[in-house]
Amino acid sequence: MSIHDVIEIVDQMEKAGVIDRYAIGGAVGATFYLEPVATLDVDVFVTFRPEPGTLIASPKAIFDWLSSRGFSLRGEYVMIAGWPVQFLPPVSSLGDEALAEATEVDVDGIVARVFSAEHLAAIALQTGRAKDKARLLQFIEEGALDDTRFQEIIHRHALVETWRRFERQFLSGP
Amino acid sequence: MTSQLQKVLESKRALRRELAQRSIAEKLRMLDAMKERELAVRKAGVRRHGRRTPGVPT
Repeated sequence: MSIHDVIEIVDQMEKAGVIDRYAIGGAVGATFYLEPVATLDVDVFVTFRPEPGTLIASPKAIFDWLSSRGFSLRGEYVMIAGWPVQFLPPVSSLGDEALAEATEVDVDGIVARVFSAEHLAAIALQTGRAKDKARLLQFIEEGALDDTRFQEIIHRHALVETWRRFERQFLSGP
Repeated sequence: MTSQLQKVLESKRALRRELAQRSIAEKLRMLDAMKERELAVRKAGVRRHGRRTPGVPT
């Protein structure tokens, strides 16, 4: 029971056409670029499809496919290989872009798709909770970001002022 | 900042860099282990809390 198994199941869902393009975000996504970031769940970003006959996008097809294969639902999570997995739709233009530009990484023979480091950092900046700020600092301190790409992203998504505040608060010298 | 503290912080940064550079498969296995530890700690915390609170069902 491992995150590797989670990636394998999500990959199967994509190949079976249950979901369209997916990408891993959150702490598990950050672990692709940083030291392991402790977490209790896995965030999988995917565009929800409208249910037949409606315009309302829903994760129902995902839940139906997984529950028909014996995976249990726990609130908004699905238990896969011992991990609570949350399927989340991108909720902003930044999230849409992060999903579209996610990168593929081989993990022991399975291709995992994960948000780029720069998108994960920009999402952390946009979300702005204490743990997000800490994660953004980790990306910076470890030199995990392509600065040009990061700056382009925060300009495209109107995060420049938020970034300046963050710089003043955490990155300016004494 | 004392030089001793600077040494401690630098060694922590070096460890983080070393962990970050490990293979992704290995880092994901570490996440699996960290989650199990976290859940075990939480369960132990609940049990301890239960013993210290007579009359409260656990």
